[in-house]
Amino acid sequence: MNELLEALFDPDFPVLRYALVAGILGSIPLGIVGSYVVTRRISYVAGAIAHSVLGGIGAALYLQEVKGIAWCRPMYGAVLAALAAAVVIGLVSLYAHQREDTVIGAIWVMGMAVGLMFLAKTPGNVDPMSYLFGNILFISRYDLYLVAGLDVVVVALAVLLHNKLLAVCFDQEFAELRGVRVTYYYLLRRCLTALTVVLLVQVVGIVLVIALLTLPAAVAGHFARRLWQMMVLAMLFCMVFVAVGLGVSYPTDLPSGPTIILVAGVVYLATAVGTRLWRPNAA
Amino acid sequence: MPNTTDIELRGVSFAYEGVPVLEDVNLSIRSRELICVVGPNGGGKTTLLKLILGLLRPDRGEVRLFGGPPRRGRLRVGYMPQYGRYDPQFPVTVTDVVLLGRLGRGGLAGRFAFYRAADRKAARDALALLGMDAAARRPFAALSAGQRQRVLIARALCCQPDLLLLDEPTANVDTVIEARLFEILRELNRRMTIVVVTHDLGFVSQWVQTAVCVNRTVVVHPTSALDGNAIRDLYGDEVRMVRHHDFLSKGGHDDE
Repeated sequence: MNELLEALFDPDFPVLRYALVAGILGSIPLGIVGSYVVTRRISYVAGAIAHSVLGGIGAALYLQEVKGIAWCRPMYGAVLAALAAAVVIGLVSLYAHQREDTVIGAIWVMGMAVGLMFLAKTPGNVDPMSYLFGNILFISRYDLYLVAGLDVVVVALAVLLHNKLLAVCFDQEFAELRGVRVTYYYLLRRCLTALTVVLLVQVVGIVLVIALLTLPAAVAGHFARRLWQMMVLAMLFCMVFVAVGLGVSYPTDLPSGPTIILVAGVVYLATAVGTRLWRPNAA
Repeated sequence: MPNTTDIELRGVSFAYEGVPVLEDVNLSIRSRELICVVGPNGGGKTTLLKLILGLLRPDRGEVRLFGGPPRRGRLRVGYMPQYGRYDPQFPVTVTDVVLLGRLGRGGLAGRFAFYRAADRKAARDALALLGMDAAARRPFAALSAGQRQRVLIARALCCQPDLLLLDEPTANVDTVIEARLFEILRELNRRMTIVVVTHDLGFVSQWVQTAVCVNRTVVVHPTSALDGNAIRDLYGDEVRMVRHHDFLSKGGHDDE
């Protein structure tokens, strides 16, 4: 424990500090967007967007390294791929009578396949695993500013538009009858999801983003009576999961991402089972 | 205001993916009427309401709401949908649900996040009218089916509408509450037009002015006809229509 605190406050060793700050800052949009994702039951959509990001990153790296297009940074490819995936899934579910889950699955696996192909053809030692599981210990100061910026955007929109987003999530038809432009809010919500996923995939990796988007909100859902309470609780749970995961993984030299995921997963399963045992009649 | 026409359908037909649901419907509902819509499951009652609200567009014919297109008039309507389509795990309280009726009011508050004191008072009043004020802070999901229906009626009233459209408001309540509900509706009827979809014509016939029978076509029975033999005729009609429906789609009768 002492070793952990020393590492945390060592001025010459910012790694652990940055990781913890990134986790705390990232918990804010993850809690908010995660609550939309869990209540709307679109965890699978978030997963597909996250994995299609790999395709964008792979393509951008390939163009940069092999084709010498210097301005084509991985971040641009990631944003483009995530928005494209979000829009395609959104349009399919709005207008086409396809089986939505099949389309989502197709985008999920194709995004990954495209990413792995481009990475294989890109020289240098780019490890796809680093994008899948990320490494919260490689975070730079620049990443922290990025996440802080995301916090401002997501919090501002979630607070200012809370009533309408709640209305559209809970009862889209009634919201439409009250003059709320539901398609606009639907796409806004999907774009917020895509933006959160993209930025945090760069920071903590695809699998950890999906885990922290859904598990804290799902745990919060067991306790919250109102949507905003769920969001606040989800943020707090997310922060705790990251802190505990880092605290366990650092002294034991375990990979931090999987440790955080397991902490979140175990708590989720425990609350799911626990609420069923204690309140057998609860919904 | 009275004697103007709130709802007007002229030659309206509608089909879901090629299957006709309503055919050549003509219907005119005047201001301050209390109308009851009856008919078998799958007969098109909910479709009729959605056409009136502009949630569905007719394949043929024209729908007018307050003399204009439905999309323009719908803010003046309080709509109560059937209760069963809500996610039982969604984290909202009873008050959260009723306050949704205050959306779409002008001004900055309506545009952004915050409900005003007047909005909260309207929500409290609507809940009190339906005897649900004690449950204001409870989770919507924790209520019984009948209680949820009353909350959804309160939400429709919270819109302070000129026209109230209620889809099966009495499907899960006992006859005492049903009687109380229709007393409330008759009181509200002095201020607004009311259209109620129900399965229980015999019970409501003492309150309604007009019954609209929906089963692919629409037949209107005026107030004066709703007594003695006419009711028996209506029931006869109903039974025949129900059998007809049963014959068309196997198992479509299970819920009744």
